[in-house]
Parts: sequence; structure tokens; C-alpha cells
Amino acid sequence: MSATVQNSDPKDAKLRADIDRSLRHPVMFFFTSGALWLLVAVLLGFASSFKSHSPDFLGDAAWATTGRLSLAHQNILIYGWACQAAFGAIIWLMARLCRKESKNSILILVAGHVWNLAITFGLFGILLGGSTGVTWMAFPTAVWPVLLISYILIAIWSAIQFQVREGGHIFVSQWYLLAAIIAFPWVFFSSHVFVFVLDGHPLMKAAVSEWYRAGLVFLFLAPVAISAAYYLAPKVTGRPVHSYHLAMFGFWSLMAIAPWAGFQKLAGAPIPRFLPYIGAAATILFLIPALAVAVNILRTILQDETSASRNSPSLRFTMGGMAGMLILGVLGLFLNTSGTLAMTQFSLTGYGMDILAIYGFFSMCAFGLIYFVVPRVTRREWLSKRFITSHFFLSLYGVAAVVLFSIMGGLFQGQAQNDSNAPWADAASFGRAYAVGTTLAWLFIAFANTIFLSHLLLMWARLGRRSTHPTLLDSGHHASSPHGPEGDIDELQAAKA
Amino acid sequence: MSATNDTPLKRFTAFWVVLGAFLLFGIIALILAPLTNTPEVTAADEAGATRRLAIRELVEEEQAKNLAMVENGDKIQAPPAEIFGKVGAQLASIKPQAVKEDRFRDPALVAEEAPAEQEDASDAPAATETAAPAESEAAPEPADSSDQ
Repeated sequence: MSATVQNSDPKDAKLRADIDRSLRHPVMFFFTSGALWLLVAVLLGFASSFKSHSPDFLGDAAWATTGRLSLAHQNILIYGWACQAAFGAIIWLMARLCRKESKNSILILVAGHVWNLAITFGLFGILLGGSTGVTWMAFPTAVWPVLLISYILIAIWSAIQFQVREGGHIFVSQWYLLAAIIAFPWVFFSSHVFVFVLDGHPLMKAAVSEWYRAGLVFLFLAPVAISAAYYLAPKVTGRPVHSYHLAMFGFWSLMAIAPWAGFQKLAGAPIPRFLPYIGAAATILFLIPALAVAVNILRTILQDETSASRNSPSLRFTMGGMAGMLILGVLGLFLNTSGTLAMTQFSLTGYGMDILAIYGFFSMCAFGLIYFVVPRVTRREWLSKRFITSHFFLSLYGVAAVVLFSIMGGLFQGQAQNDSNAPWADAASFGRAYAVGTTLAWLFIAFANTIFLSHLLLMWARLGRRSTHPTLLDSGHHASSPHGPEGDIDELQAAKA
Repeated sequence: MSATNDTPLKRFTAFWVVLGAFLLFGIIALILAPLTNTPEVTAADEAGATRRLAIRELVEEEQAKNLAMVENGDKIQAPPAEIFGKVGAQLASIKPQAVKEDRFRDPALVAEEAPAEQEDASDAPAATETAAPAESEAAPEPADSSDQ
């Protein structure tokens, strides 16, 4: 949709247009339904946070207890938003990188609808008291096989596209996509089998569920986010990735380290002592691939001397995501030492780290990709740069506030919990102010995502700008539209006809 | 690889290979887990479980009775925040009492004492009664909080 498209090989441009056309409906479905679930999750997060410091909010209804709202919030954030955004990213990125049209869009769309139905059933299951109680596996047990089968029917075609791709170089993004495509069923299937099917020791089931949480973040969401960043940075700036060897190092170090993370959440539990130490070490070492990827991506972007990196919404969100990833790595280093872990294990800190990983890192990269992909599949440009800017800054401030309040509040709360001379009520009161701050921050994020969802729905209805000139975040004043002349897409299509 | 890499046969083969790759880890877990998990239940485990379940049953019966009385209006439930400190102080002041019924005791201790008692009965002409220090030193039971 930018000027560079018109200068590229016409056959290449036609292939890209055909790929986008073949994936328009599934990609838009995943992004739009994901954005809707994100808003639901954020509102549930707001409600559960409000409830934690003001228990009279929403009255005495059983569905409105903190426990159920919090479980619903986290599970909808993961499966309703994060997974669906990842699916849209996987199917589009793999098709574009393998230069293959999708031949199974209808099946993918049907599987996507089944996924959403299962999520809806799961949400009502949690709110009506039928949850399993396991943090990120809280949907009623009947739901997870449906989710697994839906996932297979969504993602398997992307793996097949990779197998039958035309010869040539394998892009860095493709490594990460393939890793994510295979890691999700490995982590999902095996964890659910150990926790819900096999008759094992309950403590090991708890350990497996914590391993699953870390696996979902580091082996599925992180690779998808990084693949999006590795696609967008060179694409938008027109520059190659800064260092291929650094990219390779970042990939293999992530694959080597990530599978070991998660057990540190059960530090002090009567499980083999080496397990929590391995989990903590792996979480600390995540900083290594995080640094490698962030340096590579940010150097690729920031070495660009044109205004693309400043004015591109995609790159702005991608840089925000990379910053989120770096902060996740650094905080993981400090919060997983044995002293800090003992202090924060039963506090708000863990929640803050989860939100940083899912929203501060993954979601920001996903937003960047969505702002790039949607104009290409809908052949319309985003309507309003103000909507985009508001979405960015409200999300950034909101997630920074949630993370800061949760982690700071958790540290004070944990310190008070460990003080055996003080009453337990003191620990709860230390965290109260930070819980109030977290509630306010969720309100900002809800506002940001209302804007985003509205903008996305307008694009889905193909009410975007009919122009080949992209919507940029150029803050200059222009006599005419800063986005170039309107309506030139109609002239282009008429000329081709 | 050339453009002829994309054939229906290749796609069909790739489908099954990828499906196998997706399910591989889970299938390995399903195969290995029963081989490594040895759910042997020992006699001590079972005795301990029986003891815990008996205690749980008693506790649940008492709680159900109290709840029923609260719902009927026979008792008024005091706000927990007002009485926790008081009840906690009373509990802390009570010395531990010996458990009398065997079903609530550690099965290993019960097993140890049974042969010892049999030996005493056969050797000694008369067994002296052991004191029940817990009973004589026990503080009065705490007042029922729900009466307040």
C-alpha cells in the first residue's frame, strides 16, 4: 500500500495481492475477534482489580467474586486475544514468507469460529463456577481438546506451506514461526494430559501447570512476537536485518533456555529442589536472547535515516514491544533471585510480570503487525492517525502503570508478609494502594482498546481510506491530507482494468 | 527446490508429518508417564488417608450444623474481623491435648504402642495407670464464637 509497492516487480506485487486476498477473511476474523476478546479481558481485569480493594463492587453475586473474575480475565487474555492475534500473525506471515496462497481459508475460518465458541463456553464455565482452578488452564476440562483440534486445523496449513515453499533463503521470521507452530501443541497437549488426564501427584501437576505458563509465553507468544518484529523492521525501513549471526544466536539461545522456565513459581514447595532453581535460572537467562533480539531489531530500525521509523505506526508499536521484552528480561533477572523470589512468591508481582509479558511485549508487537497487515488485506488505509496515536500512548502508559504498581506493590506486600512480627492484615493493606493504581491503569487500557477495536471494525467493514498512501504518524501540518491524495486506489484499479 | 515442490502428494505427506510432529511430545508423555509413575499406596498412606478423611467428615458435619443454625436464625454469625484476634489468643493459650481415639492418631504410634502394651500385660503383675496430663492441665474449651 506504500509507494514502494508500485515500484516493485508487477508479478511479485500480484502474488502478494493474491496471498492477501486468499487470507483476508481468516486474518481479519482472528484480529477482530481477538481485539474484541482483548476488550472483554481488560474489562474483566478492571473488575477483578476493583474487587480486590473494594469487595462491594458488583455486589455479592457468585460470578462476580475476585477469584472467578481474575481467572476469567487471565484466560480470556491468553486464549481469546493473545492466541488469536498469534494465529492471524502466523497464517499471514508464513504465507507471505513462503510466497504461497492459502488454499484452506474456509477451514481455517471454521476452526477459528470453533475456537471462539469454545472460549465463550469456557468463559461462562469459569464465571458460573465450573473452572478447574488451575491458573491458565481454568476452562472446564471439556474445552481443551476442542481448542487443541481447532489449533491443529488453523496452524497445520502454515507448516505445510513451509514444507512446500519455493526454494531459497529461510527468513529469520520463518524460524521463529515454525518453532511457535510446533511448540504450542507440544506444550498445550502434554501439560493438559499431565494435569487433567494422568493420575499423577498433585504437586507435580502444580509444577506442570507452572511450566505450561512459562512455555506458553517463552515458546509460543515470544517467538510469534519476535517473528513479527523481524518481518516489520527490514520491511518498513527497507534495510536488511543488522546481524544474521546475532539473529541465529538469539533464536537458538531462546530455544535452549525457554523450555526450562516456570518451576520457580513453586519455590519452597515439596518438589525436587533442583526444579525451582532450574526454572529461576532459565527465567534469568531469558535476558540473553532478549538482548540479542532487541539489539538486532532496534539497530535495524534506528539506523534508518528516513522518517519511516518515526512515522510508521507498525514500527512504533514494534519498538514498544522490544522495550517491553527487554524490561521483561531485566526484571526477570532481579525478581528470580532466591531472596526476591521468596519475598514475592505470593504477591502481586507475578501478575505484573505476566501482564508485562502478554501486553507489554507480545501485544505491542501484535499491534504493530496488525497495523501493517490490515491495510494490505482490506486494501484500505487506516482512517485516523489520532486513533493510532491514542491507542499507542494509552496502552503504553496503562501497561507501564499496571506493571509498575503490581511489581512495587508486590515487593512491599511480600516484605510485609515475611515479617512474622507484624499482623498479616498489614501485608494486605500495603498492597491496597497499588491495587487501586492498577485498577485505574486498566481503565486507560480499556479506553485504548475501545479505540483500537472501533478502528479495526471500521477497517473490517472496508470503510477505511481508499488510498495507496499509508496512514503515518507524521505530526507536521499539511495544506492537504498528509496521507497523499485520496481515491487513487480507484484510479489504480481502473488503470489495471 | 523448484516450483514443482508444491504437489498434492507433497502436501498430503506434509500434513501427516506435521500432525505427527504436533502430537509427538504429548504421545511420548502419554507413553512414558505410566512407566515412571509408581502409584503404590502403602498401608501407612491408607491409614493416614482414613484418619484425615475421618477428621474432615467430622469438621464438615460440625460446619454444616453451624451453617444450618445460622440460616435458621438460631445463631448470629459474628463479623470475623472483630473476633479473629480474640479467638486466636484463646487458641494460643490452650496447651495441646492428647488425642484419645485411635482413628485420629498417627497409625505408626498406635502400632508401636500395641505390642508394648501386650508385653507389659504378660510380664507385669499389675500395670500402673498412666496419668492423663493433658486432661488435668487442659484449659477450658474456648467459648463458641457464634454465641457472641
